[in-house]
Amino acid sequence: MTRIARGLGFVGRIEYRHVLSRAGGAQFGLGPAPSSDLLVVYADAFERDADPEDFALEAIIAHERGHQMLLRDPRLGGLMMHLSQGTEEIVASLIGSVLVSDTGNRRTLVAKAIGEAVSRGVEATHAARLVGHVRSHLEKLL
Amino acid sequence: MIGRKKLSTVRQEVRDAFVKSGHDPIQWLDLEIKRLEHQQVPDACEIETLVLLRDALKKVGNRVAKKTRRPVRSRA
Repeated sequence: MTRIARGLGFVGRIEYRHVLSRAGGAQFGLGPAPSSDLLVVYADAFERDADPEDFALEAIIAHERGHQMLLRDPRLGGLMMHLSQGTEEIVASLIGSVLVSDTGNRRTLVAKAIGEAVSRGVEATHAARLVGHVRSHLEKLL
Repeated sequence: MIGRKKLSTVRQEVRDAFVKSGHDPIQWLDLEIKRLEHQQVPDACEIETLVLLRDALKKVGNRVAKKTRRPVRSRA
């Protein structure tokens, strides 16, 4: 868990809590400085990781790292101010999909981003084109 | 937070959203990928994104075929 988070560039504290979350398995907390940021990984992240029909641990952590980058990375400066909460979730997944090296996890994070968009009423083909544009833009920035 | 929705549910919802808008998701994505490939300056990342989505959605149809559990990871 720590190796994965550090490998994805996570800065700050990383904790494991042996309880089930309501967050899907992990949660990012913004600290007063990057070194005080917090990644909490819960027991359900490991249950999900063991299930091939669900998100892998790397994908769950990469999504949280996406949140940290949105808030901390100067290359993405200002982007956060223009995002609603739903859009932030989409962009966090897309950043995660750029960071991970495993194709399967890239795939699941792209599906997650589009799933988030369609669940918010965006028409599917529009969501797919939009996610393609945004992901390409993010890849150039990162 | 990645949310509690299972990956298989997310895939199915995306697939359903395409059908609701009158498209077969795989067919539409194949055509869209071809369209992007034939642009004057193809954007490799945009193409890759749609390929990833297409491959993710293809798994909806055949997910029963392979259901091996991933090895349990250390929590450290």
